[in-house]
Amino acid sequence: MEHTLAINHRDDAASRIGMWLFIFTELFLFAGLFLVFAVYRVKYYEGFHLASKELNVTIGTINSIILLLSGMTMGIAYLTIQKGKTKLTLALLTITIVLGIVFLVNKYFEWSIKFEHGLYPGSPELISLSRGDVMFFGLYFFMTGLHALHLIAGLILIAIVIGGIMRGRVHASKYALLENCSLYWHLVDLVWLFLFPLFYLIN
Amino acid sequence: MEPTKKKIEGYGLYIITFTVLSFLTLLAVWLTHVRLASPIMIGFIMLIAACQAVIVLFYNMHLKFHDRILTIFVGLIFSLIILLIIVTMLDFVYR
Repeated sequence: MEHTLAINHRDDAASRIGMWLFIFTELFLFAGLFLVFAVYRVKYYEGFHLASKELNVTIGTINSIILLLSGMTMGIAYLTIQKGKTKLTLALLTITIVLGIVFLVNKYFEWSIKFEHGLYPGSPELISLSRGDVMFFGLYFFMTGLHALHLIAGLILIAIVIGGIMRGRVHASKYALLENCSLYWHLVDLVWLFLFPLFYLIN
Repeated sequence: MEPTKKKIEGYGLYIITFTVLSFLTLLAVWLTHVRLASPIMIGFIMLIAACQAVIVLFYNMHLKFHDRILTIFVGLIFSLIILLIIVTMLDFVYR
């Protein structure tokens, strides 16, 4: 007589470790970029000093607070799912998405102002400035752009988690997806915590 | 789900970390208005960023509540990154 054995193996600890390994690769990616920034800052000290004054510290600060707030809502969502409060978890994840979008809208306006002033890579105005300015704005657009891409990926991941909760695939006893999503979102937070002072404050 | 080393119970932890992180962000912004020598100001601001990173790693990313081996791994990775930056900068400055 043949028996069919349905194996539903799950290893949440391994899943967490896997996510951390991915986070390590992301940390090295941004560390490399921070290193490039540091080297060029030393090389073109004057240009970086003047170019960083073109950035709006107020918008940067507001965006930092927004991102930290989204980290808080994400963290609380991680707790509420464990307590079986599905509706509250969904509400908190939705708030996190809204905060992420607000961050991107602020970034859009900030970038738009720079584009209006012709301060974007390859523009005639920027090329006419010093090499330090060119390097600063090149790195600014690349690094904040890469961070924004990571944030968009995070938003998609949260939307997938919301879908999982609504379909009953993520719940109080199976929340590894939400935990990993939370880790990724905090990585986005972590990277911004260094991007903000490097570009906006050190001048 | 694998049991964590310590169970996180209240939402207060996240509210406190958000408050502390926001305060540190505002402190870093305020420091830019204080008349300090450039290297000292950069040192303070990067120290604040490092403190914020530790808070995010330990509390928001739950390193404090998971196995110590994970904390050791993260510590090693950050040590390697710091070493990479120091060695490259030394090479660049004194070449």
